[in-house]
Amino acid sequence: MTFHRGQAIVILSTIAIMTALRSEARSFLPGEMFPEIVLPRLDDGSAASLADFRGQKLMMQIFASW
Amino acid sequence: MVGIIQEQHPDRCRLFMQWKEMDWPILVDSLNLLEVTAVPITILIDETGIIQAVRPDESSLKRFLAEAPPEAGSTGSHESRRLDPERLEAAARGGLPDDLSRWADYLVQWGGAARLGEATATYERVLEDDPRDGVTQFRLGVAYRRRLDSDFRQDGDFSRAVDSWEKALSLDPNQYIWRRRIQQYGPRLDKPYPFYDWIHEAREAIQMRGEAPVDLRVEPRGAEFAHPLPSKEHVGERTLRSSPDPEDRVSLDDDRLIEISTTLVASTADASSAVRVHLEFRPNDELKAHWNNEAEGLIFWVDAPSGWEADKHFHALDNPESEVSRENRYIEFEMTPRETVVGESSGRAPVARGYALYYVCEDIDGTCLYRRQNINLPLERAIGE
Repeated sequence: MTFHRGQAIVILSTIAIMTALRSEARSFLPGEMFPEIVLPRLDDGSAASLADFRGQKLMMQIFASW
Repeated sequence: MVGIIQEQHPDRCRLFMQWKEMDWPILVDSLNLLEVTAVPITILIDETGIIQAVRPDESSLKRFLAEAPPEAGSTGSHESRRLDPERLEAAARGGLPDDLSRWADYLVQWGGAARLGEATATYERVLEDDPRDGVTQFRLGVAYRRRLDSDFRQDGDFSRAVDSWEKALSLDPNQYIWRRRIQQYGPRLDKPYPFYDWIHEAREAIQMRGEAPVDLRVEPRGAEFAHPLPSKEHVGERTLRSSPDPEDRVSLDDDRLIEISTTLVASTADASSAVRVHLEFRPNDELKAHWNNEAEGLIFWVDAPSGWEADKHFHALDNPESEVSRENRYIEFEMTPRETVVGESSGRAPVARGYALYYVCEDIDGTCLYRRQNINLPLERAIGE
């Protein structure tokens, strides 16, 4: 997965507007590994985890459409 | 860009992504395996899987993108952790709570609707050992709600889901993902925002582009569209009409041609402040009952008990165009105490009494009847007295 700097900043802004911050989150700390859980993909239900995206810089958005 | 969504119904996010023309990969975490307590969260993760920033501002995002990748060999494993159901199931046979939980999580995510009963039973086993396990209570609620939305639904699944979520939230009131799952179906007074009011706009915009909107397996309705009420004063608006059958003259539906499920959802902020009532009316499968749409549609009347008021006493549903039909029908409304009721001990438990009137037919070409069914709604259970 690749993305351009401009796109990333636009997406960051979109998500911020889409669901304004509602509370503090559990602690994800810089320097720690992101948890490697296996989850279904939204598009086809297949299994995926963050390990599938290794070797790329990721902007991870944890969100909901409500 | 990668997303992880915290929603009970992930296909609604698919519609959202289609509307916003976002095409990045999204993973679904309905069970909240990540154990986040709120959304949204933005996290920058480097090529090795290490978190570099949480909730970055624009300058830290630019820095992150400009940084050179780590040296070769330090990017960790590219191997995704594999699902191994045989190992998970074998471990669960040992009966340890963690193993049982992992197996139940697997069943909910990957086992299909047919195995949701096994999943709920497995979570229940975990809770037998520790009923104060809020994480498992929440996931049990997710599993019940998912079964409700499947072909394997059982009567009472919605109530079981809400009960589980309420137990979970009582154990950790600061868990906003759990709180939102209740508020999605809860009273307007307790809503931080309308949950899915964007769906109509999204569909229109998608159709304007000449595309077909993603189909939703479960259409949002009622509470999921409702806008929040800013304060208690606004609850008083209602349609004033007298009871349509005040002397109980309509014959009761003793055969239960229409089956009714009730689910009460109390406010998460103040359980004594409001209750949202969900009613579901289902033509009885065994009796092959069906709605008679050539007559007036289903109507429902509710009287509030002393000290309470309903936002709407009278409900009337429109019939579909076909002469007969077998769909489930839904009514929602809210009950609000005029004064604080928690702590009152002298009075009898408050029960809202309502009834539905409907035209229903027995079997195809069978007798069509006008019937009444009484519904008692014990509000003390919802507010936890």
